[in-house]
Amino acid sequence: MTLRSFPTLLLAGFVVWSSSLVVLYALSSLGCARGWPDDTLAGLDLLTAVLGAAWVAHVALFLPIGIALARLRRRWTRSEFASVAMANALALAATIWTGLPVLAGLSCA
Amino acid sequence: MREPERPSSPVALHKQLSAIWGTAPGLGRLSAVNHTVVGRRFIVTAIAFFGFGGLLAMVIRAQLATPAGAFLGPGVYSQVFTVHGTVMMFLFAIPMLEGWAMYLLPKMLGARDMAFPRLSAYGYWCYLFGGSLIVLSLAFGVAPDGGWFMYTPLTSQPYSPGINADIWLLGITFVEISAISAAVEILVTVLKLRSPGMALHRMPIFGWYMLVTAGMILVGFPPLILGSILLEVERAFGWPFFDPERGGHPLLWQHLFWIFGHPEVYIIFIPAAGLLSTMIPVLSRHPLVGYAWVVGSLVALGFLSFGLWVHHMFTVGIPLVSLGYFSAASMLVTVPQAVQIFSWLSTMGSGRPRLDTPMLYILGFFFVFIVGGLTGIMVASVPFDWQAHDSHFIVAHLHYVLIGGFVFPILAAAYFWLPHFTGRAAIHGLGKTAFWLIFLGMNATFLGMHLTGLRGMPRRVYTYADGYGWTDLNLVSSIGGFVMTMGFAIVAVDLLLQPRLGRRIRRDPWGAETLEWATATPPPSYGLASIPAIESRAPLTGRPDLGARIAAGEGYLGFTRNGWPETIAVDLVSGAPEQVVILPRPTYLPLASAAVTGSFFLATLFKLYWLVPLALAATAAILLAWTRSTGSAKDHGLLAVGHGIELPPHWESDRPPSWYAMAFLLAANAALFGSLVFGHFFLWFVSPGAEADLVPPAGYTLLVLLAGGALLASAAGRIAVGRVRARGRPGPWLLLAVAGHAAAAASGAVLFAVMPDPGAAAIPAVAAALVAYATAHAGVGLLLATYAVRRARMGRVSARRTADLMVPSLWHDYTAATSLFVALVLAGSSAVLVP
Repeated sequence: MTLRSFPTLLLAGFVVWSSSLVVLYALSSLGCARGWPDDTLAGLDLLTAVLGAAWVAHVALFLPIGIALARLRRRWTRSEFASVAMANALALAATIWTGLPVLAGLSCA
Repeated sequence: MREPERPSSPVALHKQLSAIWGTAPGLGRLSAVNHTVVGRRFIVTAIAFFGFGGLLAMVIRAQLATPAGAFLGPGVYSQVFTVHGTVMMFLFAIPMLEGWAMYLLPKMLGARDMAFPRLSAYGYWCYLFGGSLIVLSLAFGVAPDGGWFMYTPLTSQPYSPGINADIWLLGITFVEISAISAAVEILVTVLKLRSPGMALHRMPIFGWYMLVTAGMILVGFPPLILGSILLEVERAFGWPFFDPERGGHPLLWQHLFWIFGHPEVYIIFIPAAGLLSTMIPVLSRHPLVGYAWVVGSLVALGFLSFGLWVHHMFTVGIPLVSLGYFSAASMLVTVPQAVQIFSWLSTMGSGRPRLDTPMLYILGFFFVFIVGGLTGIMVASVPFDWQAHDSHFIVAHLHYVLIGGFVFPILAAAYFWLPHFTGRAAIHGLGKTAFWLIFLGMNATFLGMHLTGLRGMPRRVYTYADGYGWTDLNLVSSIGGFVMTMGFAIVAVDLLLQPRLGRRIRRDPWGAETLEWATATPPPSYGLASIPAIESRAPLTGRPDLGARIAAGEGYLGFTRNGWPETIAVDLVSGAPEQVVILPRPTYLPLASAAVTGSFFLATLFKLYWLVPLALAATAAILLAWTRSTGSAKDHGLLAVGHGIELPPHWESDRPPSWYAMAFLLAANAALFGSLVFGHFFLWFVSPGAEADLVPPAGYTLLVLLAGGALLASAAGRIAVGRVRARGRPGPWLLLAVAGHAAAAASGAVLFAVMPDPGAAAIPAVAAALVAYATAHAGVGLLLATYAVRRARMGRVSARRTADLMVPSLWHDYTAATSLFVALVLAGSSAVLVP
């Protein structure tokens, strides 16, 4: 993988974050409209279970990004690597932080 | 090809380049396409609109200075505050940043112009005409009056029956042409038109800021354009997208508006921050601390700013669980902002800052913007927002953010780069006096407004009663407003006097490091007489003679050839030289095209619908006329650019700038399409008539023909490109692409005619909009495929020159993908979504 992957990797983390926000918002709207909080799955209410699964899946997508970054660490200059690492670290933090309300037990009211 | 003979002296080179790049005097100025001229025009026009918006603000403050103010009635007041907000957001801030980008970017990047100079000029005229329409409407008493965010149902036909709302919807859409065109060409310019050797990580930091901003405009503006089209169609033809009585929903407008509206704040702030990141290191005499971190945080800011739109809608009844995500994202956005602010503070702390006039405005920025940012964190909290929403607290917050985040940096930039524009130093005594008046006046105006808001004063009221604790604070706000205006008036006087009375300066008076200071000041039309090779982020550091060497033609393209305006395009990541881009000469076509485009908007505004197809046809025809001077009728092979390097002309390269432009335009188009699809699913969710049968039985065949025709055109377009590359001729494939689009357009038109009445309910309306979208794209595809046939017959296409086929081919691919999606959505919606 060469410098050509620089733009892709620079954007990759925040593409995952964007997807996580859209998916969580869409599933919340759908779940609240369909009464998912009244059903249960694996001991959780259905809405929390589905949202939690979607959230964890998005966080897991940072694993391949991290592996790709680790491989590139020595091939790129410090400056190139720092920009990409910074953007992806922020994106990972953002994906975790933005999804935290899933755990807060907020209602559909 | 052999290198042309070099001119005998720098003066001879200057004369040759000026003859090619210059703009004729007198009426010839109307044909200007040069980035320096067009950039200056954007800036001056934006200042004029700012002055007008400021006068409206004074009228507002005069009205609210005392209780029961009788200066304005409620109707006129509504027009005044709506036009004030609209002018400041759409006619001042965005065009101002476009102007700075056009003026500075090519010089900073080491290019001689923007990638599409005629597009710059066309965008400027669209901006001027559309903006003038909105401003003039106030003189005729028909100005928009629904607030700058035009909420439905207030702005729907029954509640706003005049043309006030139409003027906003059509005028702003007209102006947005300039924003989208600027975004496309900023992206292509930054990514392709840099000096050889300027890899992305060596790019001036302002280039990164504009790259992110342009990307945000490309994705952020289309939802507003779509919303404006839908609302105008509802008002004109009764398609009820936002009418709850017929299955529409007012919240759809709010979603579409704020998906644009929140990133808009960052679209305004980020370029201003880019100017700060350029000025602060120079004024602090220290390189920017954490360049790579700033780049990373910019990417974060660009994305995160889109995830906040619902924080403008915390009070509309969205489930709490969903509000949680947007509240979290709203707080999170402070992190990349903080990275930038600490980078600036570290740079200042590590260097030796000089307290010159620009630095004074930068310090003003820090104070004002940070106050705005802190109140932003407050309103990001849902319970607090429920209390403060639609109160004067929000008015105070947004003015701290926008004046702090945009006006102060722009004033700093004005004093910093004014010597570049005019070749003279600013009259700093006036600038410093103006700073204190603006700074103190601004805080006097808006600080107390937080309190009036917390005491319950709502926004947008034209008067108020005494006894609520609002009276004294409002009087102070009004006095502060007038003090601030005095400051701006002094800046205006300074700007007017400086070109005549300021003392002449040497090149690069600040000791800056970026390439724009390597030009003569004021800059010549061609910017750089030759294009230097770049080896570091600070090309002027340690090379004080670089400007003179560039002027002597020692860089690349230090000569002229065939009377062509030439610049170099590079590989978008590494900065390796790739092609010679031959740019267009001055022409009246952009002005004429904007006037013809304006006829479409005026015909729609005055409901002369018989004229609309003619105006559209004329617009298409005049835009196609632009291509008469593009490309070449013969192969040129490699061209010498100096220093032993030879490159192909752009029309013989694998990926000419126009290919990237089409790709970015389609990205904006995809954002609009995505917004329409979102609208479709949103209304399916909320509409009680969602199970309506959208496609009549015969319609399924038509859907197949619509998608099939577009797929055929896409495949044929691609095969034609391959065939031309292999054999030099396209064979019958281009005609097949024409036939495919013709079949798709005809099927779409028939389907549109047999679909359920779109005026009856929202779901059929949005379904009809999807079919209209696909049909219109097939129609444009038909035009582009026919254009490709014509170009091939004119001999403008060869195995080397395939741009005239490659660029339409991108459109064909996009049309095929969206048509197929429309067919699947319409056919599949019932099965998936009906309970």
